[in-house]
Amino acid sequence: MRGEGKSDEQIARALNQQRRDIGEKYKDLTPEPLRSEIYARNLERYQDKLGPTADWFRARGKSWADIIESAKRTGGGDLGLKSNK
Amino acid sequence: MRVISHDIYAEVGEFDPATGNLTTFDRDSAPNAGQPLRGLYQSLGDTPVVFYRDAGQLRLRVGDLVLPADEALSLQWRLVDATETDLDQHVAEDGAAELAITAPDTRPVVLRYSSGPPRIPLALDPTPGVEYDHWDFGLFIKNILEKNGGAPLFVEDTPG
Repeated sequence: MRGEGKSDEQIARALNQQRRDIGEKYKDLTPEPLRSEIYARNLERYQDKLGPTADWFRARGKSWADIIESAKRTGGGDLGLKSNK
Repeated sequence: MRVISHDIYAEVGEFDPATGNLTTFDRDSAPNAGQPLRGLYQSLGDTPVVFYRDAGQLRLRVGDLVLPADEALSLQWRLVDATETDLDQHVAEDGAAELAITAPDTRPVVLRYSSGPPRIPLALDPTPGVEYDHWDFGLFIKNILEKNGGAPLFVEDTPG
C-alpha cells in the first residue's frame, strides 16, 4: 500500500477494517453464548460488535503507526499482553 | 470541555477543570457534540478520575486533587489478587488493581478498583486489537504516559 502512495491513515484504516473482517470470521466459529456475550461487550465499549475502530484508537492517543501495528496482531490468547509489575 | 467515558462508548461528559464538575450525557443527546475531545474519565473504585488536557497541559484529576501529568508524576500499577501473573485470564469479579499516584509536594494516593474484562477472559475473545488497558483506566493512563508522555492525547480537533 505504501508503494501505491497510500498515507498512514489510509493504510491504518484499511488494515484495521481487514483485521476486523477476519475477526468476524473467527467469531462466527465461536460457540454461543460466548459469541453473543463478546458482541454485546464490544458494542458497549466500542459501539461496534467487531471491536475497536480506527477512530476509537485515535481518541485514545494512538498514532496511525500504532493502529497499523495493532492490526497485525491476532486476538484472543495471542494478544501479547504483558505483565506490568 | 468535552470528555468521554473510558469504559462506556455511549456516555460522554462536560467537564469544568476549574471546579471539577463533570456532567454526563448520552452521546446521542450531548450538548457538546462536535466539540474537540479533551479528556477521558472513569471512576476507579469510588474515586472519580479525569485525564484531560487544559491550556496545553495534560492533567490528572483524582477526586479533588489536580496533578500535572508530566515527568514528575509517578504511577505504579499492579493487580492485587491471585491472578496477578496471568492478565489474559483475569476477570473483574475475581480481583482488583491498585494504582499508586505520587507527585511532588503531594501525599501519595492509592486507588484500588475492579480491573479487567467482565465475564469473558481476553484469552477466549478473538476480537482483534483488544488490549488489557481498554478494561483498566488506571493502566491505560500509566501506559500512555510511559510510552510518550501522552503527547498525542487530546491535541487534535477531532470529536471523540
